Amino acid sequence: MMVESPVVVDDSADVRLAVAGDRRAFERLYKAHVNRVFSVCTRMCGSRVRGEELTQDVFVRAWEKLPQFRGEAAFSTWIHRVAVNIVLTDRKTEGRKRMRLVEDDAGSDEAPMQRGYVTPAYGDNMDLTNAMAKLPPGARHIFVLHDVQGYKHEEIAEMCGITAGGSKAQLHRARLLLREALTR
Amino acid sequence: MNENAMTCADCDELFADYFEGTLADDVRHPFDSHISSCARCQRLIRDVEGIRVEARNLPDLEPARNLWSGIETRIQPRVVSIESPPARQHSMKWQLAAAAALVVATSGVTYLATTRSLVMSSASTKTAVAHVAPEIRKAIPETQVAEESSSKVAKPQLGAAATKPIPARVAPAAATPIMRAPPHASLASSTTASRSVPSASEIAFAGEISQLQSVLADRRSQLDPETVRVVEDNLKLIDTAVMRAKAALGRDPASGFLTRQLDGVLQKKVELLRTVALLPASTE
Repeated sequence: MMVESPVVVDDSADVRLAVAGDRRAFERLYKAHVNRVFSVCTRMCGSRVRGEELTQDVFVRAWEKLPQFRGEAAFSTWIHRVAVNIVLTDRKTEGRKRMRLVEDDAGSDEAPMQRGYVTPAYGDNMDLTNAMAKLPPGARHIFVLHDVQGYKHEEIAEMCGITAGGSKAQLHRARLLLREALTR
Repeated sequence: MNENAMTCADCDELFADYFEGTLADDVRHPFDSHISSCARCQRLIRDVEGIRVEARNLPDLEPARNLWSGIETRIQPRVVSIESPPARQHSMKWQLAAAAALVVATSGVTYLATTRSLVMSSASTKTAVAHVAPEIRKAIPETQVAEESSSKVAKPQLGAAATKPIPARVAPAAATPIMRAPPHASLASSTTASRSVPSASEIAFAGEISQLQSVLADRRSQLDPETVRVVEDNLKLIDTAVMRAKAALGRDPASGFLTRQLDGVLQKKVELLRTVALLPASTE
């Protein structure tokens, strides 16, 4: 299970209002969760610009899916899962578009930014976030989901359509690539 | 595996399990022994542990711009719950069923009318006139069948050979719900001369118009009253045009232009009625 935010916000009332179609309540939910959603989107896709676009997609999708939200999990968990799914779906779509341009990262250790996949992110200093942005997409997704967001390998495997063993291998590869980038 | 023989390469193979905490018991002791004496492997473990800690404590990012305005323009007010069946679906189903029924009915009527008009061309006038649809009888209140001079060239009609309309007269009692032969039909039928009967296209239009008007009558209460009023005004205009075209044809029966005009006006009437038959029900 992913690590929950230490700050527990009771937004159940706004959730109920939003489910009933109250856009002002949904705006309050947006304000409460936008940074977290933006963080996972940006870190998973490796671009702030794309992260902003995906964040908007996430909240639009959440609005559309809200009537199906049963309240069995916290809204923050639910919308976080929506965000992950949006990013992974976007990856598949983008992957098809760039089929001729970008090699699958399973066959190449070349950083995506060098192949033009990821736009430059956060400045010149090589911190962890920048280093993450330069990871191959598959390794980056699993590193973000496991080491940043706290998902387990079994959960990641289900979301990404891979095995738990594959998730572990990709994670280790990502950590070593990050170490190499940060200690260069 | 001999613990004294474990190398950095051996440990590299085990680091993934080590960080996951799933290192097998049989390799744990030689692995730990190697790490305790290898600076390179100690540094690797320290660096990766540092990355894990830093990743877990990364602060949330904040978008550089307000994203809500873009979201707000893309989300629509949720008027109808997704889980409850929208009333519109019933309306669409009804419309589709009505359209399908309409197509079947009009096709059948058109087929029958056309077929019968072909038979009429070789049958007696009485029989032919008896098949004239109510719409034509309304459009042509009084059609008098008369003998034509054999010296005149009969105007060709679609589906009816050598027939020719004659001038219509205004009669006091026009429409009657019972289909009957017009006055003097027997007289015409007793001759071999051409006579005035509606063309096959007129009969076809009449059948479809009749069907559509009954649909319209059934739907009248479902439609917006203002829409009904506009439709009725347009139908009056079209009927006036039909009457004028027929009157002109009576004066110049051989005119192909007038014949096409009449057909065009009748076609417009059919199109209008078809459109109205498929209009959605008033939402108010």
